[in-house]
Amino acid sequence: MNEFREKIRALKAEFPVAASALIPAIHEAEARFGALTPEASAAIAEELGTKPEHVEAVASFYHLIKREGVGRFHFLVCTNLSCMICGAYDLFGWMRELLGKEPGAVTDDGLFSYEEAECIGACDMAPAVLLNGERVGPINTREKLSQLLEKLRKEAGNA
Amino acid sequence: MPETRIILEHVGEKGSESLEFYLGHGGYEAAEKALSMNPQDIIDAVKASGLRGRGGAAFPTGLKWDFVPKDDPRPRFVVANCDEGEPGTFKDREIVEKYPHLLLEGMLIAAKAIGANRGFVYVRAEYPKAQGILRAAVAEAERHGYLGENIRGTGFSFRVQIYGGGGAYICGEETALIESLEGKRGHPRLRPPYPVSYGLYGMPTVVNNVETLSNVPFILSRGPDWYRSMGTKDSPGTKIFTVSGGVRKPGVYEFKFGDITLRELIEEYAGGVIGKLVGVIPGGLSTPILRPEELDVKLTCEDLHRAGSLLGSGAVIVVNDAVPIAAVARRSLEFLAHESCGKCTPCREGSTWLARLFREIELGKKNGRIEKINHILDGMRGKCFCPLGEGAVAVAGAFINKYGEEL
Repeated sequence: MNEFREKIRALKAEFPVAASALIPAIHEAEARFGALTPEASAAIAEELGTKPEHVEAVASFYHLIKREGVGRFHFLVCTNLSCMICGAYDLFGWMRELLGKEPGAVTDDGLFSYEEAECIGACDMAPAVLLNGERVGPINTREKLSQLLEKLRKEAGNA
Repeated sequence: MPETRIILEHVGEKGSESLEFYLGHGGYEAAEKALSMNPQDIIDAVKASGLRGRGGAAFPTGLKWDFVPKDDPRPRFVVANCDEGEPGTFKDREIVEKYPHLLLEGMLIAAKAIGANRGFVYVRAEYPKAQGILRAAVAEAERHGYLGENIRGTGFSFRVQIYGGGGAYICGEETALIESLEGKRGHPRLRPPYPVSYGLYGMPTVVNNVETLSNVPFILSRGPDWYRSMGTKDSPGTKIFTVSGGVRKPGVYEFKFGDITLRELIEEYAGGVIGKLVGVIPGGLSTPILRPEELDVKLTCEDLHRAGSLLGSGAVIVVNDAVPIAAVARRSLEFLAHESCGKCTPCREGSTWLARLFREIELGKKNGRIEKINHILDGMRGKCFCPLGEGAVAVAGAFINKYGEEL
């Protein structure tokens, strides 16, 4: 937490006004702790001279700020128009089927989670996902998704 | 008519994201020229070019810059809008991931024109790769003296910071973007005052779309007359179109405004429609859909406006029969309801009701729903705080008016 606090102070110094460091500090919390935890909110609030409630109020506005932990491999499955036209709802269904979990839940081995997302700007590879921030697509067959999950499982096993 | 690749000319060539590549292709020459120019002459050149904003509103860029108060001691800011949340749009992604220095050079010229020493690129949360590439590009430009203190020994300083968003479509609206940059929830501000006089931290601020700023170096180096020789009187220059949905060759295409029609873009460049064509959304989800018989419209701001839609961000979404049109309508309104920021009641409540009613129609419960939708649209039209809600009115209206029987 001390390192985290130091990082917030560094972020604060980068901006003309300290409040601008709030969202970057939240991203820093996500990177370090997997989510904006209550402890992280409190630390950010203290360093930026505001209240934890304000940190939460800002964070809750933004859809992609993680308030709870996700799997080691987190999928944002785009179901917006272009992806939907190219089969995103099938992909979403395969996700549920192959992972055996509802959106938002983490698989028991801690490896996978997924959620529905608005346009991720990968319409040229629809239906697409953001996998830990990286665009992957088109995932237009059940087989392709199954192979991808298998590859990720191996990756996790080797690490 | 063939493509005219000005912005995209070198995008995607090997190493195109590096400073070395960029300098080897004339990079930062326009900025060097601008740094020795009188700021008003830069503004006048951009005004004379007729460049209009590429984020969707098509506001004249030079005019925006000229509105920044001249004899005013307050610090100023240049903000590049890379929030690119309009569904179907991925043009700015192509520029910043593959040719980031073009944007940075455009920002530097804008900074010199309005007298700004600080700038930000607001990049959407969905583009972490772009954020990394931009951070590396800024560091490289600083190391070689193209950004930072005393640029090229001219005494002019300009520092750029990359700012990652949190995942909110509304932050593409410039005043919501500014609120977000200030560390707040992304609620749009009442305008006027406009950001040019009261923007980031209450200071004069120019917010321009990535593609808009990427046009600027070419205007400075080749001149406004060259720029005006492309496109139409009301829409000069080129435009990047992103085509996606039910087409064989989705991708990024750049044309002079007016060189081709929407139908030609889809059939001759994007490989044609997969299955049966049902409609085309010409400028991103928030622009009204056109029916198959309405596609012989030239791709300019004015022609699409006359056709009852908008050029928007140039995101062409081809709707085929892979999903029912009622599902397309429902998903569109669901998006707008999800992204409504909640600040004003007509948009917050109206968009939610629209999404619900379109879902009922999709499920086959049509009885009285269209009348209800029209009633809600009357309650929203002209009453929403920002363009998101008004966009929802236009989008929902187009689905009802053009596909009423088929929904």
